[in-house]
Amino acid sequence: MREERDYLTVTEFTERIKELIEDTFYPQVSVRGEISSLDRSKRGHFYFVLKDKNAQLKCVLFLGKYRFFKDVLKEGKEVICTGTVDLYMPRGEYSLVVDYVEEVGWGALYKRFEELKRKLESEGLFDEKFKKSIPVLPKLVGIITSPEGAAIRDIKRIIRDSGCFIRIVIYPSHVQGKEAVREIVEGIRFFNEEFPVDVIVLTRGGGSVEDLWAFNEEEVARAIFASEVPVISAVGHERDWTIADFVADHRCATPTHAARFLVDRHQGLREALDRWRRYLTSYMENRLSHCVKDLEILKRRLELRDPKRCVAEASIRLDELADRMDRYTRAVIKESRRSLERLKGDLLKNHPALKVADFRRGLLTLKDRMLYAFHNRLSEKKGMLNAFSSKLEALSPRAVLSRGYAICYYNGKVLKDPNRVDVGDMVMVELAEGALECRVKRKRPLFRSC
Amino acid sequence: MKFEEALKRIEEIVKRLEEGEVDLEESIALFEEGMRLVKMCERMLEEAERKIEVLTVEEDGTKRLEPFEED
Repeated sequence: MREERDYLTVTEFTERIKELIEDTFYPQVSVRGEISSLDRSKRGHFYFVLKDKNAQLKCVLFLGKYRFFKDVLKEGKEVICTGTVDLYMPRGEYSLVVDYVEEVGWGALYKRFEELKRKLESEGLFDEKFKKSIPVLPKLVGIITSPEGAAIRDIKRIIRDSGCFIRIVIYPSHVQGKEAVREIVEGIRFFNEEFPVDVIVLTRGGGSVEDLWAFNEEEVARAIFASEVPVISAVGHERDWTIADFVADHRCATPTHAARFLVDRHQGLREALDRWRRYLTSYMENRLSHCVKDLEILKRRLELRDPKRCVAEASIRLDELADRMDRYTRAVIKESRRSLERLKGDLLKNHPALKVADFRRGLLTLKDRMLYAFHNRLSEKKGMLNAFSSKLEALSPRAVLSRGYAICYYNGKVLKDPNRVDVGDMVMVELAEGALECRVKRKRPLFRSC
Repeated sequence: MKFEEALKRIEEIVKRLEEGEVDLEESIALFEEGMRLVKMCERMLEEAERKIEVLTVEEDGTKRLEPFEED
């Protein structure tokens, strides 16, 4: 058994360590490392390990703080954890009780970035009104970048492939690290004072927030703002926004974009010139062809009014009219003559001599006819006379008388009707061989029997 | 004449012609001027040397431009 205690109990030892640690890191300590073994306890606290190449540190973040850092607290993320060191005696384990977690680089720098941005903005360095327009035809371009960087390689390729006539002068500069800020500022001055260019392109390829930090420095911002030559910034990737981007006269998202921007300007101009040339040519052709057409029309109209032509036309018309008139007149005369002839004919037909002749002829005819009829009648009558005579011969009362008939005469006339005589009258009865004077004694009806 | 001015003038000319209120004589003059400017602008577009140079600083501080060839 030892007289004097030259040892410590575990508790004593641990207490000493605890004191030591807590004194050393009083009141707080910030530790940078990569988050791993992130684990959540049943009570909701977060346990994780911060590690780097050679060591590990246990950390705990209590539930109450989690909500502030949930975006940062991710497996594999490099962070700076700030908090107090606590030694948990029952297990002899120490750990960092985290109060504040920030993403490495950005987190720390973010504050400065925001502050500077606010400050410069309030001074008006980002104002649109101070932005210089990029020349329409940027032919001489000053590029401030690293000759070894990816940025210049991309730019060179794009400009070479485009075939545009752009002259590029590179001002070699560090784009990260200690010298970067000074060199960038000097580059801007160089392209303003010593070797003036049409436009300055301030560029570098992608990198971490720290890599791009030079472009967030106030000196660079002020140099860009002061530059007489328009400045195009093209820093990092599309998502990276630096103070330089805000101050620059034009921001391109990447070096490639910057090169395209320049090339597009040239090609755009070339196209515009082509278009205008085509427009002017076609305008003129159009206009001239219209003029030619108009002229043609006028010429034709003028020709129509040519006096010679008019005279010729008039004489043709005259001829035609004369012809028509002639024909018409002839027709009229002919027609008149015909009418005249007709009338004359009519007149002649009605000549009195003719009438006389007609009458005469009629007269002659009538006479002939009369004579003829007369003769006819005469001979007819003669015939009839003969016939009658023979008939008469036959009918001669004498002949009948010879057959015993008697003829009674009264007052010389043959008496046929007894009523013509009165009783007592004297009648003559002729017989074949003599006559009797008889007195009517009595009237009697006819007796058929005799 | 600067490139920008030439472009502006060409645009002006085109606009005048488009408005269609110029007589033939004037339009010919405008056309000729426009074509001359277009040619001039094209010349200007192709005037620059197509090259990439890098600034080098000598020991004594003199600055020179050298053709830039990446390796």
